[in-house]
Amino acid sequence: MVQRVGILGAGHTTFAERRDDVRLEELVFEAAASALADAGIARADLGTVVMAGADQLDGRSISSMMAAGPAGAYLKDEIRTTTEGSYAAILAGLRILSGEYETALAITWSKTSESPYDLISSLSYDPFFSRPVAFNDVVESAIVSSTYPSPTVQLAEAAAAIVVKNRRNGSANPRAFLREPTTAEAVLASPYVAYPIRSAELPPPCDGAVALVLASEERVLRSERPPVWIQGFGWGTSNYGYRGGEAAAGLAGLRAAAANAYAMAGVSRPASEIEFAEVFDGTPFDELLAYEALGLASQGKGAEFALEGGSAAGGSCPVNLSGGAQSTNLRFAAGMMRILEAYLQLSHRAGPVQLVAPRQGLAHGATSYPAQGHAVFVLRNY
Amino acid sequence: MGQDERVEAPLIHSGEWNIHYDYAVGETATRFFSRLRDEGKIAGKRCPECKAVLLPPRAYCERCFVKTEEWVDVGPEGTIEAFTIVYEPFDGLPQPPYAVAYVTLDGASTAMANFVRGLDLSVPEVAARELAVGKRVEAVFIDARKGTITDFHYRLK
Repeated sequence: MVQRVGILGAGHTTFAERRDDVRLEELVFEAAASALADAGIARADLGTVVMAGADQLDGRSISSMMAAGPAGAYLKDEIRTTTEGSYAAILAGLRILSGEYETALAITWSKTSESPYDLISSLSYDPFFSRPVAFNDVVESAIVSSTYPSPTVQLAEAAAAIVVKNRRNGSANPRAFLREPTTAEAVLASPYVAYPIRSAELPPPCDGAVALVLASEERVLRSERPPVWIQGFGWGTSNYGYRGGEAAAGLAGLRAAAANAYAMAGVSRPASEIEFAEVFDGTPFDELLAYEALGLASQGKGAEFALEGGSAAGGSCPVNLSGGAQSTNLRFAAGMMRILEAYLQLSHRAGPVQLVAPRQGLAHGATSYPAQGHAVFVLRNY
Repeated sequence: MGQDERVEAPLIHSGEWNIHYDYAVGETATRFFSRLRDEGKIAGKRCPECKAVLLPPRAYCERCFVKTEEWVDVGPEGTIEAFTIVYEPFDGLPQPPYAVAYVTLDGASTAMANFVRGLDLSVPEVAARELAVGKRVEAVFIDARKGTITDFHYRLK
């Protein structure tokens, strides 16, 4: 039995509002080749390939059929999940733990400049009771945010503080798509898209692909680079719909995912043991709600945690030092980018946003369909 | 062969699909929508084991994994669980502004989403205070009902 899963290397494409210079397959190849080069292994030595893609966003049914080749899976074992990008790392980790494979490439892509994202997100909804009532990702995200039990003014200021923090962090990160900071005044002056979400809280999307090379403990220890481990991982799904008394903002799915990941990693006090986190922040409310669900802030104190700088660079648990999705909105691939950034921190290769000697951090991916699917990864380098 | 130094604008080839679906509503939701249309009543189904009254009605309880049989009329009043007010247009959605809320109707165990109408939405913060979680609403039925979920909407009490 393999004891734990490690990361041998990681890669990503350049990010742009539109990557019209490449077709989807070429975008996938760019990330896969980059990850294999970083891991220092040849495609021939790769055990299995795990892809995460969404046909309806890609505009091709069985989009893995075209992506398998450029992902490195030609005449190899491959499998795909359609949940969310970081679930490729979940599935790849499980395949390593099965003992069947020594190495696995986990890859995901998001080229949403090619398709009507908001309209496609409406397809997720029940055609009888929900679709006629005007739902999409943003609308549902706003609805979830409305259940957070906090004074309205404090909530708005905390959300703006998170956008300002992540955009400031992103401005220092050479990997980020948006590199311009913003101000709380600018965020709070922007119009509501769907109350309480404002236009400046919805980052512009970019095209790109992200890949990780995962490996067995034995294989990682043979690498010349100091090891980084995915010490624990878990996933969870929240209720579909609302039962009385179960506030959506409680993020039951994220709590379950975190509980599983913490148990596997032996983390019992996340607020003190998790030194930094890369958290899904498609809207600042997503990050705000995650503070409590992940146990980084105590119950009911998420907004204070944001406003008092607990999640800022230099805070007790810096969150999204990379700039997060607020700076690099990779939509379907956003969760995998969180893992990549956490990996680079623990590999001491995060560049200008590098922490001093971090030992343990967390990465979180979520289906942008809010409060539903969540994946949590505890990474450490010892 | 020498290096080709022409710089060409990347080509975009467009594709479009107009796919029509005919979704079977099923006996349970058919009965729900028929009563909504013909009698202006909202009914959920009670789980024989956990006694939860499920709304939208389901033919089975997912938790207890048993069929539901008993119909229970609920509402017309209820409590807001969650809401939003949409101010920007989206593909495939109505012209803004409009308000949407999840409401647990009196007698139901789960919340059901619908539009909230009859409220001035021009000042977001003011409208949001009116729609706050915990506020009471009632279901209002339109005259020209078609057997769809928008045969009714919510209105603040």
